Order: sequence, then C-alpha cells, then structure tokens
Amino acid sequence: MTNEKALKILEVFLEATNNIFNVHLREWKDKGGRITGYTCSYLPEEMISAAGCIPFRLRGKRDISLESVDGYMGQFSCTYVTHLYETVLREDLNFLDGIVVINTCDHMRRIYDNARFYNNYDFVHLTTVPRKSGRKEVEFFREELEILKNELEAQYSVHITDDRLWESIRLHNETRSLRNELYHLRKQERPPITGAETLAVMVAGTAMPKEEYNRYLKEFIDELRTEKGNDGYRARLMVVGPSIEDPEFFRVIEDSGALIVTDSTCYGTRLFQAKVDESDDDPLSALARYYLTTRPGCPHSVGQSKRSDYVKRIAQDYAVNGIIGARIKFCENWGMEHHMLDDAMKEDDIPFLILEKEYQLGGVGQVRTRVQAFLEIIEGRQL
Amino acid sequence: MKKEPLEFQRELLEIFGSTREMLEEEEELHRILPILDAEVITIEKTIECIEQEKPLICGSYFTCPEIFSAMDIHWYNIAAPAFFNYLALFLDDLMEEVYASVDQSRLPNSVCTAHRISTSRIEAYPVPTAFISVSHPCDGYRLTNEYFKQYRPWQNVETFDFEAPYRIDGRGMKFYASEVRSLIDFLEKHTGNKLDMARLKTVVEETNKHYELLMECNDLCRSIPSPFPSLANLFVWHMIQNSPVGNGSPETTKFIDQWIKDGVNRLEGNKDDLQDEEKIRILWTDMVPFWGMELAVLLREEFGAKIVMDLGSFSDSTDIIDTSTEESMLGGIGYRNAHNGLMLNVVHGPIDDFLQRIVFIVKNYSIDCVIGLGHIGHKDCSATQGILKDTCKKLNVHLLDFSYDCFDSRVTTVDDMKILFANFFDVMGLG
Repeated sequence: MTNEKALKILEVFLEATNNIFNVHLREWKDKGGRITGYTCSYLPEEMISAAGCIPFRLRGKRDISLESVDGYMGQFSCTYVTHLYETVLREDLNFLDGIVVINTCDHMRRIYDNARFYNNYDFVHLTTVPRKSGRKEVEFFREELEILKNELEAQYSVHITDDRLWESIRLHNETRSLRNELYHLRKQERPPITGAETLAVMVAGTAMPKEEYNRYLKEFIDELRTEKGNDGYRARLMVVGPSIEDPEFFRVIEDSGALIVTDSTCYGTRLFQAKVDESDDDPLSALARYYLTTRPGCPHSVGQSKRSDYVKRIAQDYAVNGIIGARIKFCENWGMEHHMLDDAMKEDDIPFLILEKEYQLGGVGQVRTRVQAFLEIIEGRQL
Repeated sequence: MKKEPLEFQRELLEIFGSTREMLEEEEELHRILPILDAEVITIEKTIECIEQEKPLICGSYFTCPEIFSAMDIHWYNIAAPAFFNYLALFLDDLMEEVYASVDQSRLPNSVCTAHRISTSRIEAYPVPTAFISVSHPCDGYRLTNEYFKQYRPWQNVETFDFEAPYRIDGRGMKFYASEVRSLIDFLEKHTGNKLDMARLKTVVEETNKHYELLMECNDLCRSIPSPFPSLANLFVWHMIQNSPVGNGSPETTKFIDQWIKDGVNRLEGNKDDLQDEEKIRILWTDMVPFWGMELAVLLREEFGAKIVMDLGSFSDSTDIIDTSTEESMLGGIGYRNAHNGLMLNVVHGPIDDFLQRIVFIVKNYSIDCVIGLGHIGHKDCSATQGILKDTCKKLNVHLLDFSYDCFDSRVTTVDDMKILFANFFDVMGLG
C-alpha cells in the first residue's frame, strides 16, 4: 500500500485492533459513553447500539502469561477463552459496562458462568441462539432478543424503541455494505489490500463507534481504489475458521508470498453477507431472521453441508488457489468442521491445509514451514 | 479393521453371549445379567431390522427413547461402540479394536474420544431408516452428528435435528413440547408407525416409576455403608434410559425392584464387609470413565474407597414427567432428554443446576471427597473447574482434580489413578 491517506486510516484501524482499550473507546468513555462486550458474532450488535452503547467484541490480551486463570479453568480450555478470562481477571476489561455471552461453544458459554459466579461485572447476560433455523427457532430467537432488549433497558435506563432499533439496523447495514465493497476490491487480480490489513480493518469495526468506523471505512475504500494493488504473489488463499483476530497471524502466512484474498471467519465474510431486511414490520423479527437464517452459519449451527457449499462459493468468487483451515487448539467445533471441509474440498479438488494454533501467536517457524509446503503443492498443481 | 454392519452386530452378539457366560460364574455379578440379556435382545432386534428391512432409528438416550418405545420403533445408540467400554474388564479384544480405530482417526486428539470412536467406526453402523440428530449437550455430539449426515452411505437417510433450548424455563418447556410433536410427526412419516398418546402415557408413567425407583436406589446410598458397589446404579440408569429394550418396560421395573431388594438385603447382611470397602465415600462429578469397573475394583481393593454417587446415577424429582396433559407430557419428555441424565446434567445448560445437585449430594450422602470435572472431552467442564473448586471449599469437602478420558483408559491409566488417589487420600488424611 502506498497511498498515504489509506496508510493513515489503516493506522487508525491497527490502533483499534492492537489495543484492547483503544483511543476511540477511551474518548467514548470520557464523554460518559457506555460499552457492552459480547462474545460472538451471533449477537446482533444492533441491540447494543440501540441501547446507546458501543458493542465491543470481546478479545483477550495475547501477550500475557496465564497466571490467574489457571485457578479458574483447566488445561483443556481453548486459549481464546483463557486469555479473555485472564484479561478480565487482570481488570483490563473493566471499562465494560456489561457483557452479553452467547452459548456458541462449550468453552465460551462458561464465560457466562464464571463472570456471574465471580461477580466480574454488574451486567452479565446470556442470550441463547438456536442451532436450527426454522420458523419455530426464529420465533424463539426473537423472544431471546426481546429478553435482551428488556435487560439492556433495565440496566442502562434507556428505552429501546422500534425507531432506535431501525436506526441501529440501518447503521449496521451500512457497515455491511462498506465491508462488502472492501472485500469486492480483493476479487481483483491485484487486490489493493493484504489479508492481514483487511483483518485489522474488520476487527477494528468491532471496537469503535460504528458511525466513526463507517466514515473511516468509506474513506479508506475510496483511497484504496487508487492503489495499484498487490502482485507477484504465489497463490490466492482463503482462511476458514472461527474468530481469528490477530493480523500478525495472517502476516506470517502472507510472508511466504501468499496473499489471503478472502475468508469465512467470525471477523470476515460471514459478518456481511446480505443485510438485515429493513422492510420487515418488526425489527426484532428482522434481526432474528437475519442472524439465524440469512447470514452464513458456523459450526454452532446444524447444516454443515450448507457451510461447505458457502466456502466453495466464496472460494470460486475470489478465484482462490487454496484454503487454510485455521483454528485454536481444543476447539471441538472447528476440529471436526475442518475435517468435514477437507473432505468437501477434496470433491472439488481444492487444496486444503489445516493449521492449529494457540490464541497467542507462537510456533511461527512451524506455520511458515507448513504454509511454504502448501504453496509448493499449489504451485506444483499449476504447472 | 473395517466391519460391515451385520458382521459387527453378529460379533457383538457373540461377545455379549460369551460375556454373559463369564458373569454367570460370578454370583456377585448375577445382578447385571438382565442388563446383558437386554443388550442381547437389542442386538438381535437390530439384526432383525437390518435383515428384514424393518424401521430402525439411529439416536441416543437423549433423543426421546420414550417416544420410540411407545411407537414400537427399534433404535440403536450412535455412541454405542464408545459405551462398550463399560464391559472393558471382559472385552479386551473389542477394546483393542476400538483403540486401534481411535488411533487411526483423522480427527485431532483434542476431540473427545467418544466421537473419534464413532466416526472412525462409522462403516460398522447400520444405515438407519431415520437419524435423530442432536445439537446438545456438547459441541462434539453436534459435530459428530453432522459428520454422520455427510457420510455417503447415509446421505439419503432422513434426519430430524432435535433442538434443545439451553436454559430451563417456561419458554423452553413450551418449545420442547412443540419439538417432541415434530419428532413424532417425523417418525410417523418415515417409519409408518403411529403414536397412540394413551400408549405414550403408559410408557412415560412406567419410566416415571423407574426414576422413582432409581431415587430409592440412590436413597439407599445415603446409608453408611452404602449397599451398592461403586457406580452400580449407573447400570440401573442404563436400563431406564439407554436401553432400547429396557426403556419404558415393566421388566425394567421388576429389575430395579429386585435391585433395591438386593441392596436392602445387603444392608441387613454383613455390614462389616460393606464397611471395609467404604472407608472413603466419593462423589464423582463428571461423567465416570466407561471403563470404570476397573476403577471401582482399584478403589475397593487398594483404598477401601467407594464412589457412592455420581451424576449419571443421580435422579431427582425433575426426572418425573407430568402426564396430566399432553402438553406437559411432551414438554417433560423434551426436558428430561435435554437436561437430565448421564452427562446432560453436567454439561448442558448454565452451571446452576449442576452446582445445586453437587451441594445436595455432598450434604446428604456423607461425602468425604469429590472428584472434579476431569473428562478431557468435556471442554466446558474444563472452563468451570474453578467454580467447582470454590463450591467444594464452601462445602468444606476435599476435591481431587485430575484429567482422564472416559473412553480411553490409556490416557490416565488405572495405575496412574492409583498414585493420584494414594497421594490425595494420604494428604487429606482419608481412609
């Protein structure tokens, strides 16, 4: 990237991504604003925005030793959750006014129990998301959102009207459109942005006021259109996995000469496929329907074959040469999902590499070696 | 070694048959012969379904076996090969085979062994008429079920995904009633069998009797000494909920009646012997190792210790289904299958109910020590070890935390456990 304005905006995104309590959140808090953390992208951020809070996707500090959390969680806990809870115990997430946990996975749902048992926050709420996406489940999820709305109202002494919800939906739909535009640029033969840079942009969007984020993102996209773009890469790669949020990890992959052009992750394309239907009568129903039926699912939900089809479609759209399945160790969800994806990709002769990592970036040499070997396989096939 | 379904079932029949012969020689083990007989009948029925192309469901003990029983639909448990561990003392060859398939599994080692066993032996499963898939109680179960759906020979198998709300509340009960109705519709459509609600009521009321009797078995365990060996009542639970032949059957009622009589007789008999094997009373919180009979022997012979209660055997009034209305009955079936019983009452849902049970058992069963949440496949349990530890502190009861694999005795072996227990009992001044 050479465009100076784009680089300056990227710095803004990087600051938001690399610092838990970043400058935007500080400014917001200084103005008396509230921030509500949430654990999973199944949680409609719109609900939190409508309550007048910044929705903050919970992350842990990566470069910390897990001293305190050992007394709370055993060795078979995913390191995302252990780092997150360690960060909670160190009081580095004390700027949060509350947290909303989703029962997405076995590790994450216990954040709810720990946070309640040990009184980490005044407001700790669990929103449960059905695994199926039929009419009955959408109705059930709508009720869950109604409960969440009532809890947010009581906690923050606000009235979340339908108008506020629609306003919030429009704001977040705008984010979706902009992210779609950003990713569209990556379909080009010379994408103007790397995978690592894109990830920084996406993560930043979960850690700053949405209005501000949308303004920066719009400007960023406009500047990127003037970029010549990246060429000379060895292969176009896709990453499939959970909440992989460390741009450094993507950079290590791209250091070998690959270019990550797309993904199916919790900070990636799954966040902005389609939009919440603004023509619906009821905003909560619109949200329930979008999050449960419209947006692509993850292993939290039933219907693995649909997910395989989604990955294949995105891989084709972005002219991907190979797919990396990245996951955090001890993740049952992705451990089995990647196995099934591997089989599905074999059907279409798409090379698939599985990388298992800890939450904090480690074993960089090994990652490089494996990616290197993977690229050689891809290049060998192209000859 | 890959096995065809019929071949595998016939092999199991042989194994259970010869195991029964072995157990006949040990008078003390006669009480579990009815369980083996039920297993034999189950396998025979499975073979009949395969050979005669009769309706056959693949499900689990928490996919509403009450409904299957009422509709006279035969089913088999998707986790059966993993569960056979419970006869590990007698089934060396089978266990060797099971472990070999685990070692060849393409799934990461961190995935629960039960699922690595199921998925690596998938070709040995009879292709069912219909598959009742679940998304609870844990990630592994849900993804294993997804795996089975992808398996080519199963791709035309009709599937019903059973949704189990995470929380227990009024909304959840209403949802369960609706979900169980949908399950009934699905089964009627794909098996041709019709459900008679009156028959279902009879079956459910029989299972209610079973659970009431299981509570009586548990009550006997409150006495010091307890009349049953370690984990014995798990066999009772198995007959009630996990046995296609035992579920809802008056024969099971007779079996448990006799079980209780045997227990009472033992209490009235030689208490000294019982007391010798129970110098230390243990509560096992997580799912017990399925190779637990080896563990039970170790505890008795080395330490005079007994697992007087575990969460799989434990039953309380929430197991009893209100049959006064169709809605309450169907909702109750859904609830029981989502929140109660082996593993479900540990893993599914927020931790509150689990903790309440732990507190109740510690206070009412004269527990000397608690074994913590250690099965390595239970990732959610790993994340709540601290909460259990602090709960035990408040209860002033000793806690031993260690990791083991319910389905693979090689991970933490019986010898490893001997050392762990020896040190623990010594330090805590137990025994």
